[in-house]
Amino acid sequence: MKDKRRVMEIFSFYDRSGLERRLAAMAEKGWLLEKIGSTLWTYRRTEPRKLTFCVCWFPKASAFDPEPSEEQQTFYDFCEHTGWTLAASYGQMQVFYNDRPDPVPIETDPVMEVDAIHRAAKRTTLPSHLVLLALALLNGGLFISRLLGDPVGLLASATNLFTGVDWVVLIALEAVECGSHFLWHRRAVKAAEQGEFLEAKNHRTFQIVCLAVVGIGLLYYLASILTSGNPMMMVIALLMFGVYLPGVLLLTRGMMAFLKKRKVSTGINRTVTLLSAFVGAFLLVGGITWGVLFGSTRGWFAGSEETYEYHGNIFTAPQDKLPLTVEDLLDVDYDGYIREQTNQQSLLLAQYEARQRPRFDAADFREMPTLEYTVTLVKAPFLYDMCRDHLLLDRAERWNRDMPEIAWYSYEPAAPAPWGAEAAYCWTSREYGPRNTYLLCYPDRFVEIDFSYGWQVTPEQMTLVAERLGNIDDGYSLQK
Amino acid sequence: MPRAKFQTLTEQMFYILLCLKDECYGMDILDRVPAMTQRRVNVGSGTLYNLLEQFVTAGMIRETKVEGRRRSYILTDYGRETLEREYRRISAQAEDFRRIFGEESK
Repeated sequence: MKDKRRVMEIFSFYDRSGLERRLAAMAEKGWLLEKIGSTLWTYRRTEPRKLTFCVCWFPKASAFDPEPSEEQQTFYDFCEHTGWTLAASYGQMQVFYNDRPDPVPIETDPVMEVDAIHRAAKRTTLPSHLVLLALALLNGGLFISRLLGDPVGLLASATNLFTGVDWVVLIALEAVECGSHFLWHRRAVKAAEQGEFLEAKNHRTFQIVCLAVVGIGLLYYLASILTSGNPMMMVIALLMFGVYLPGVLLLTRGMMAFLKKRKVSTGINRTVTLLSAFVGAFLLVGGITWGVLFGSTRGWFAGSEETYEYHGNIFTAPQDKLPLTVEDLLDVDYDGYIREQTNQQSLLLAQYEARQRPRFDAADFREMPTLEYTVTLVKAPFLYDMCRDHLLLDRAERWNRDMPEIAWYSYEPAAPAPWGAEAAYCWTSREYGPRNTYLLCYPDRFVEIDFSYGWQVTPEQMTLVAERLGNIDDGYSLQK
Repeated sequence: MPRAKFQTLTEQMFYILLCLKDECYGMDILDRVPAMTQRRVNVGSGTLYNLLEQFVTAGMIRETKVEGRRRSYILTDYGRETLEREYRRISAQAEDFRRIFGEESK
């Protein structure tokens, strides 16, 4: 039978009463709080007892203190005199229990209690919550601006979707935490003047839901990276989650605990711990970046990919299996093609890009036809119209941005029937007319396909495009 | 401002200062106040700790002895003035009550 339990306790800093009820319920089940950590709280098994708990704040204390100060010890003496035993403390938070029936509370003046909670919050938790909120707002803002600029690219990427959603969740979490504190404090001050301590509203369910969303997002992100087949992304994800995050966490906590054990002063401990966290994070990110770059230049992540040298530079020559090739469409047989595919997917969208181009050292470089296409699979039907509108405008916006008006292009409606599509658009110049680039709309996907200059696309080729890209039952490599 | 803060005293402040008419260990106040008031008034240990600190800062009491972590305090002249002012305020309230309700309240 286990004698210790480590539990992740989620509560608001100022929700004293909610936490006291939780600790009393645990004690009644035979679990007494023994240690408070920054994430996990330790309970030890005892006889089930009916205890009264009191959570109070000692604003002068710090998590970096080598040991409780004399003032803090005096405070403990006062509490002990009235039957309150210290269960655990973490920085300013002090948790006591009392086995006497109906004990005199530690705080009997609501004005002073509200003031102590607010002073303690201003020294530690509020600044960190406000910094997190600012950081989340900055990153959430960047996510939203990217969402407006390139919604398809962003929503098709599990990484971007995961980080973006996390930042938005963090904004909600921190805004509720900070906003609720200030709101509670304003009301609590007024209530305290009337002699009452105002209980804080509990946001535990909301906090648990937010953390669950982040947790599920993280698992989905890791699963999509590990199954993506992209060795470099897999290595980066493993290093970030397996080395970087635990490394910084262990370094920070280890340094703080080591300095506390050595009885180093609060100020020095705080400075050295923060510096070591900063330097450690910098070195780890630098090391991982250097390692990945070093590995990629040596082809560690290229797998069995072929390479070739041209004018002193090394180029890769991938030979991926593509659902549609130049050879499928034309009766040609050139040596020296690169066949490359990339794909990304999220719960909402998937994008598959394929390119068939000649190698730089190909003998018939200039004559060789090229073929490029992007298939955007819409998994969430409500995004279909948004994707179509974006794909129709995005290419023109990017192309026309720095061009004189005479050179502007746009997608103009074309006959969809030969493509077996619901709608088709042709990339058309105001000056020179249609070009060999098409946007094809199928019920669950969009195909943007580009044939090289001079290629006269025949109805048979259009039908083949529709067969291969517009109506693939198994989604081909989109599911890879 | 501490002085403005103690323009009027709460019941707990009043009895803590009353206890310190004579030199007294801080911790003993926790027992003296309930005894003095037939347990009508109790002072929490955290509240007492903070109030003693604030009274010292405001110059209403002063430390007289330090024995390890045990400290004793005594009321200062300023503290006595504050107590008397509070007494007059409460007395005036009681007088007003008697004037309005007279004997019927007894």
